[in-house]
Amino acid sequence: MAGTKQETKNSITLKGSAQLVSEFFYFGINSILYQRGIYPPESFTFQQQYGLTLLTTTDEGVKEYLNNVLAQIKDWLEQGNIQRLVLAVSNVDTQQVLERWDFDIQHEPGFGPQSIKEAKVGSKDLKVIQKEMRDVIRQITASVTFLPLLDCVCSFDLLVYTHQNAEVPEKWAESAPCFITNSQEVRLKSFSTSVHKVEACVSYKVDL
Amino acid sequence: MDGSPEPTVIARTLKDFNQFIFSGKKSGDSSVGRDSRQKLNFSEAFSDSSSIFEDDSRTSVGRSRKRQIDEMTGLDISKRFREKDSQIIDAKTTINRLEGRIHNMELSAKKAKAEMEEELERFKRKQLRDKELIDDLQHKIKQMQAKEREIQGTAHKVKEEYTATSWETESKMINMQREHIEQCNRLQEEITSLRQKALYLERVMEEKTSQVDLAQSYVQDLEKQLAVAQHKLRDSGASQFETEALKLQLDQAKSKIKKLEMHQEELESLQSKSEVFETTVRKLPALEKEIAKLKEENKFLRETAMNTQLLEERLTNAQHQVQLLESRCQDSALMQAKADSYKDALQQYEKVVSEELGLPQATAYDLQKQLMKLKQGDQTIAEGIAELRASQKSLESSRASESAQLSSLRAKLEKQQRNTQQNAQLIKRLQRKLMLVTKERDSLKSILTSYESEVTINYSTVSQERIVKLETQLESYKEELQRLEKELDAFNKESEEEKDVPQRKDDAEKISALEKKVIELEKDIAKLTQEKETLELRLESRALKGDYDPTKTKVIHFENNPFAKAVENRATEIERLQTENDALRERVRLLEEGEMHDITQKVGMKVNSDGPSSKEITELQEKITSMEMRNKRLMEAFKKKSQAIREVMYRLTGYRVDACSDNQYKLISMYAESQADYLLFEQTKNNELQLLETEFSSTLEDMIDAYLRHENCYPAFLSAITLDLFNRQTMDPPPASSIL
Repeated sequence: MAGTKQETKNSITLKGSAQLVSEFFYFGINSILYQRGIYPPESFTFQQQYGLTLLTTTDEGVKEYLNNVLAQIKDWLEQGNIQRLVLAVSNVDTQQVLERWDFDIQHEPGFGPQSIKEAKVGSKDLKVIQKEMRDVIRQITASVTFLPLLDCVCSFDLLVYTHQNAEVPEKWAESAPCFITNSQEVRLKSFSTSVHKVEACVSYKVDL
Repeated sequence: MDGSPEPTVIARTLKDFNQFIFSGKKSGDSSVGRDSRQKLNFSEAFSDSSSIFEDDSRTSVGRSRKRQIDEMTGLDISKRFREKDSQIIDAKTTINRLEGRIHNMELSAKKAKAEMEEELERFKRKQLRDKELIDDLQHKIKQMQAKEREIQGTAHKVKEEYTATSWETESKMINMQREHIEQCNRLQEEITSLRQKALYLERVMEEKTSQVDLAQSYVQDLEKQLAVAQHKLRDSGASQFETEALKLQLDQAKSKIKKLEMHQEELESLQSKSEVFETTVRKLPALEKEIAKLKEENKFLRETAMNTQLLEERLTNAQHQVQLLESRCQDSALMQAKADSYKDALQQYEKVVSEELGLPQATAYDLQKQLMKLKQGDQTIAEGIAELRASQKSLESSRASESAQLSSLRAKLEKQQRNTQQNAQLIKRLQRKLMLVTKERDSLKSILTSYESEVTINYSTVSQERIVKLETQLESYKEELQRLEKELDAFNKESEEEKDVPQRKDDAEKISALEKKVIELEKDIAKLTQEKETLELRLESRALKGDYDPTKTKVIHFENNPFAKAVENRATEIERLQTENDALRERVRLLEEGEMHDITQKVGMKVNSDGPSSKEITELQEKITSMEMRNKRLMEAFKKKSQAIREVMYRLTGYRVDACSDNQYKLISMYAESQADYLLFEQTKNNELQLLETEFSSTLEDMIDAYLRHENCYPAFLSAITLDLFNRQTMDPPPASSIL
């Protein structure tokens, strides 16, 4: 990985940061899919990451989808077009959104798409970044305790908030924002690669 | 001997062989005699064969003869020769075959021999073994015989012994028998004696029995006697008992007597006592009477006691009442005195009332009314007083505040006055300074003039410079003065303003208004900041919920996402299930209707027919309506167009064409004289036109002849008709359009 190579010098480029963030998304999304039981547990396999044993899907369809989407997200991260990534969990029958996992993405001050040209690099220890990421994933795992049980057939969708002028690639389309009526929000921890800052938040439908 | 003997020979040889083999088999021990016989047989066979050969030789001899015969008989003989040759060859072959067979036989014989020899040896060995066995057995037999002999010896001995013993036993037996007989005799004798004895005894017995009977009768008698005796005894016992009882009774009686004696004594004493009692008893009625009397007295006394108690109580009560009454009497006296005084007072009051209130003979009610009125008046007055007091207090407070204000104002005024004084002093000082300055100026001017007068023209420039400087100085002084004057004016004005109370009040009002405004604004600010905070919080929460600015941001997603897929799968599954459900429902319906055969097929048909569902039906209906509309429009357009074309055609050609039936066309000319004048054409299948006969056509024979029969030209025919009709019409000028 580009990020790990640069870790030796304790300097992180925009590309490296995008790589780190998209990698985090991959593991975060997998964790959510496993923890929320959107796919059966037997379709997951163990993988070591961030000093944790994480579960990643073995379902080829999901894998392909995630790889496609995350590759695109990585591009957007490098271009600075992405503002937010949302994992929306919806009921398949009623098409009602039950959970939103928001990952708000911001550039750290002084960084932007121009920083490639400027050859500007962040200076944060990779170990520290990975520790922050680990904390976020731990929180995702822990949030199962307070989130309501998903007792219906559910599926997920990844929404990307981009700038209005960002071009929409092939096979992508504009989508509804998937708001939850009657929701409760819980802010999770955030992490920063010193180039990108990602703030996590989960909102879920409250049954009254 | 030609052909026929050969098989017999062969058969014989075969038999011989068989015999040989059989004999070979049989003669395991190879008896010489048999061999010789075999040999004999062979010799026989050989002799046979030799005889054959002899025959052959004979035949050969014969052949030479036959040749001659052949020569004589020609073909017949040669044929015979050939036959013979063939026979010979056959015989040879048979011989060869037989030789081979013989060889085979020999070989088999040899083999058999060898086998036989082997068997023989085996048998020999067996025999040897058997011999050994026999020897053994013979030996054994000998042993057995020896043993037998021994046994026989012993048997003899035993027999002898046995005989001896049997003799002995027999003798013994005889002895025993003798003894037995003797004993039997003896026993018989004994028996007889015993029988005799028994008889004797029987007799004795009989006697005895008779004696016993006697005895028994005697015993019975005795028993009877005994029973009587016993009865007597019992009676005596009973009497004894009785006596004993009597004795007891006697004792009891004695004791009783004693007791009775005691009683008697007692009775005697009692009698004495009773006598006394009697005397007393005699007194009893009198006593009873006395008692009754006493009782009555007692009763009376008791009643009297009760009465007395009652009376006492009443007395006490009465005494109390008396006391009370006495006290009341005293009180009443007092009360009367009081009442008198009250009456006086009342009279006085009444007087007063009548005098004061002008109410002659006023009752208490009137008085009360009056009093109420007065009280009400009083109350109103009191309220008025209270109000007045309150107003007074408020006025006092206002006065105090005003006085305070006044004092403050006075203080302010004093201050102002002081200020004005100071200002005045300042003004005086300034005026003095001004004076001094003017004096200085004057002095300087005078000095200047003196200098001018003193100094020559040389210094004029310097002096001029100085003058300019001084003038500027002066001007600055002037300016300062003006400024000071202005200041003074301002001060004066200020003092004047301060002195102006109403103006100050206005100011105060303004200030208070401003202060109020300030307070209000501060409140507004606080409110707004709160609102801002809440709005910020809301904004944050909205952001948390995923809100975004649609002008800056757009939400996109991968089209082929798992959710979309899941939804699609769901939809297809639901659709599938619905179709299945429909099919099953149809099946159930059919089953309920009792259809049992070809259900699946029928269901399939039904579902297919119903399959399109209402949606498709509506779609199709819509299509149909649209198609119908189109059709209608097309028809209309077509009608319009055709009408126009027909009109034009009519105008141009002068004929109106009507399709009256299939492939028949009616033509009416523009110039026809009547509606009945029409032509009828028919279009045949091969697209040719034929003129059909009508009333009108029958009048046109010549034209038909001219144009149709010869030229087969319809247009010319038709135009000829039009021309003809036209000419006819135009001949007589006013024909008008016969048509239309």
